[in-house]
Amino acid sequence: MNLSRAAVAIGAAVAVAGAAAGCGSSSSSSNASAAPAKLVVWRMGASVPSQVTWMNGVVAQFHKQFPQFKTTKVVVDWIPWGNRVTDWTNALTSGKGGPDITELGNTDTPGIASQGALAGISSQVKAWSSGSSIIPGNLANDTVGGTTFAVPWFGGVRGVWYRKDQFAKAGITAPPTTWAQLVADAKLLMKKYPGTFGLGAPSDYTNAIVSFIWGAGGQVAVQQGGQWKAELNSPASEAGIKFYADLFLTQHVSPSKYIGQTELGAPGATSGGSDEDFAKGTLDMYVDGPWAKASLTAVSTKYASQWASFPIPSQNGPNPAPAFAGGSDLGVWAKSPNQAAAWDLVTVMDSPANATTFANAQGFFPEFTTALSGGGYSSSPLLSGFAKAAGFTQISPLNSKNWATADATDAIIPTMMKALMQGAPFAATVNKANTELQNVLNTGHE
Amino acid sequence: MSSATRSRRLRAMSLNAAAVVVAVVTLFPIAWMIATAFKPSQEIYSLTPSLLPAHPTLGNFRAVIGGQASGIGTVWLFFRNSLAVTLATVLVASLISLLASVAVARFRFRFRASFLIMLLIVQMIPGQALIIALFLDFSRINLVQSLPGLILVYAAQALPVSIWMLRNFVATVPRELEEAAATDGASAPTIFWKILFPLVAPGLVATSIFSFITAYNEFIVALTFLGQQHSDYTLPIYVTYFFNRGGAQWGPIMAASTMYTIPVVIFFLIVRRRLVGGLVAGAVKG
Amino acid sequence: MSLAIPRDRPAGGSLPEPPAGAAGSRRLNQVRAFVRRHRLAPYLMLAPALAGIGLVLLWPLAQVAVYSFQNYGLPQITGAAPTQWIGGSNFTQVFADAEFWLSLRITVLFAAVVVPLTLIAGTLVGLLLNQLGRKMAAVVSTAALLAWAIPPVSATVLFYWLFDPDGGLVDWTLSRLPHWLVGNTNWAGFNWTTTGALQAYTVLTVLVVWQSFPFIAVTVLAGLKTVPHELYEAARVDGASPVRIFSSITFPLLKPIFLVLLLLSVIWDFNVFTQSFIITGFPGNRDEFNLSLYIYDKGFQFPPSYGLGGALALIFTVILLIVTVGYVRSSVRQGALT
Repeated sequence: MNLSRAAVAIGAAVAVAGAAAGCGSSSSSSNASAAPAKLVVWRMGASVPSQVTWMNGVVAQFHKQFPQFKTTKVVVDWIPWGNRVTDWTNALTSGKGGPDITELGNTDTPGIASQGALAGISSQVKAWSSGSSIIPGNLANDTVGGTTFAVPWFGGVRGVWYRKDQFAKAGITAPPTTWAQLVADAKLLMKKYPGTFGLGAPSDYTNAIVSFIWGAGGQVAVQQGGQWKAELNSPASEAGIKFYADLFLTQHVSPSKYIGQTELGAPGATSGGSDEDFAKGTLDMYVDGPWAKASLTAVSTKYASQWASFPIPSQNGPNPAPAFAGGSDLGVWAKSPNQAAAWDLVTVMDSPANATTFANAQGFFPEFTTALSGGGYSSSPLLSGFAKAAGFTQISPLNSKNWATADATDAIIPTMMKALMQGAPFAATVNKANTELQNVLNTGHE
Repeated sequence: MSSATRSRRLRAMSLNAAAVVVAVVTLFPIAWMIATAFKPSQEIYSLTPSLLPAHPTLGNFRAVIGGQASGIGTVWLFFRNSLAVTLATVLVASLISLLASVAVARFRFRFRASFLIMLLIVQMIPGQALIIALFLDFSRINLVQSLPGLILVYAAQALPVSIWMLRNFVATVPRELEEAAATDGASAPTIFWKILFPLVAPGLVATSIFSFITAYNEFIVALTFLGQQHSDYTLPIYVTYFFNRGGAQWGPIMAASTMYTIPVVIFFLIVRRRLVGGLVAGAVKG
Repeated sequence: MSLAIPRDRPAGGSLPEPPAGAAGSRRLNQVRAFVRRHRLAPYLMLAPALAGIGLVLLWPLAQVAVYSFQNYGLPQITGAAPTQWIGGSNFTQVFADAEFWLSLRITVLFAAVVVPLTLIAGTLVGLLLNQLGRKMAAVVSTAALLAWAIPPVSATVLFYWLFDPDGGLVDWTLSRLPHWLVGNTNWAGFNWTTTGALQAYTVLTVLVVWQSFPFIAVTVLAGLKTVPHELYEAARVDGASPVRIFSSITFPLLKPIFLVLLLLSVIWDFNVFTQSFIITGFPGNRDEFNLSLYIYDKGFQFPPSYGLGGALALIFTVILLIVTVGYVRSSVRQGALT
């Protein structure tokens, strides 16, 4: 009798210890003593019912997984994207009104982290069971000076949209994995479907052009001791730039009307772009992310069942070219008095399962290599290509402090590509853009 | 007609012509603003613009009052904000500057001279130099992104000029009046309200006008303090935000700008003569 | 109790004649007692004003001065990095910064162009007003002052619209004028505000002169009215030309007013912020920053650098104070004369 009661007691103790170890999977910093009254989460954008539902589910999980925080209320504040920098700055200068957790555009993270707004979470991430499967390129973005300040939440990469029926009819058995194959396939498609163009190459499309620079082994800019060195004119970068410009100039797989356009058309326009042409069937291959599905279906669903994707090829394969992964991170606010509880909530919000459901609802991807290579996406012809591409990301230098000035305000790369496609001398144009880019990245102006 | 008369007539005509030119140059832009406010968008972007709208419309004003044009609310909201801020500023600044000017004009105390010099110098400190520290200070005590913080700053900024103006008025009230009242048995508050105050009233009106206009037009502090707090925007920030939004809705923008300008214009036309006199007196005396 | 505290003892110094009778001298004693007991009165009455001016005008100036010698920024405010005294580093950085010199050049050149233009235009209009009949002068001066009275934000947005490349009146007019008059530039769709400093500050010049000259004109007019008629009559009888009359009679007599107007104009035009903020579409084209905008950029564009902003603000204030000292001195001197 005593023995069995002791066994039950020991068993219970072990069970409790096991459960405690299980929920402490995040880190040892779970502070069981003080449960905060509430945790404030700053989300970017505008509230959408599906996201509210998702968040409610996450909060329920959080309370279950961390019973010590059962009474902690989770409040979500929605910050319009345009206000985020002001709101962060105000919270910092006043010392009040800041959140416990904040979402950040991943290009914001290095800048915000270097201003001391986020708590360092290197040890927490290391101790986190899912920490090791975070996509390296995205985690690197969130690490400044050796300390990690945020974790990637979801991201989107561009790939190449194509039509399965067209590839089949043209005899293309597998998507191209090198530039040569890409061009060859484009020409094949144009031959098989006269009156179409093979591959859309808008000149105002920095986020796609960089994939060709990176795919040749080049860099847009690198940091050397705190200073930026632009490398648009390195041989590798120039190969990528030339390849993209040649899609129109010499290979003639892209039409002249895309010169000066973004992938959606003339800046500010709502029609007449490569997305419309792909949906209507006059463009055979279209570079964009999975989120384009909404606008494509809005134009036409005639070929929607045939849509598929493959990653942007690198120059010589076999891996895809690195793609710029725009997306969001989650960070713990440095001035939050509830950092331990906040981190725990982050691990629930960003658990591979939750991150996946959240990202999928918006046409994005979770930032875990395990989630990307697992069966989830491989069954979908449309998403598998993007999922593969999402494993090969690069963010720098698009996360630099002055990138917005260089790209959005001064449009250095789009201006360069437009000039090249209009016949400007190659080396001179690239060199000029390179000098300009370096100056802007370093000083914020030309 | 003698040549002297002719040349005098010629001179008068050319002077009047020049006068008309000056009037047109100053009034034309204002007329253009008002005209644009009443034009439908086809006319605003027409290749053959004309001053008078062919089909005047109230649509722009309606869009501004309805709030859909700016996206942050009806123009009346921002009128309310501006009015609240300017009235409160005038009240606070008038009270404090009256007290201070009486002290300076009627009492003799040790730091009086240095105080007056400080008033002069402080008027010359540029707002752009202070705004960084001002913002950080008020941010720390949670008075940014709200109207009370603005009122405090505007009232304080109005003090040097108001005190300077008022003390002249107080000083010109003959002390004999007060002394006579004292000997007649009047108490201090009675003397203040029945004798001093009515005589200083014009000065108070002048300084109130000054503080009102300064607060009504003020830009940099409102811009910095209010940030993205749209619901607290004063009129100048609202107009700027509206204009910045892009989409070039010049009709509604001009309508909003016109509405913002109207109170000042009406006011100016009323006090025109007094204003000119006061301006000139101030400048000539230095 | 009376506020009629005798303070400035007149020469020969004594209190005014005590009112006659026992009641009068008792009242006077009460007054004296009041003064003695309430010596603090002036200080108490001044306290709110001192508090306000100190909090909003003096203390921030001191802080800005302190920041300019520190590496103050957001990390220092949050405590992520320590606040350190770095001596003159901010200043050396500023003086080595090409953008600082550009913004300073723009500020000085702008004032150098706008001040004379405003003064000349204002003086000419003032002279004109002086010659006009009463009614005409009233109409014109009212019209002119209207331009001065409308709020700066309204005027600025209005001129932005006038110079807008898409539908603005200026481009429309220029594109229709003959080339020999306006040059060969393609004026239709010419962008005045983001192309560069020269274009943007041209718009600003027109705007600021338009808004400022009326004040000058009215002040000059008032000054002209104080010039005795006889002087003009005598000069005309002697056959002096209008130019001669101006240079020999008007200008010398009005010199104090011109000096004041000159200094006021320089101060105002150095200080221009609102108009340049809106016209350049801050943050817009960085090559169009004047010094005020550059200070604002350092303090409020992300990431802010309060140390550098402080150094710039201090430099700006010193420049302005040098000009102001001239104004204060002339103002005091004038006070002594009048």
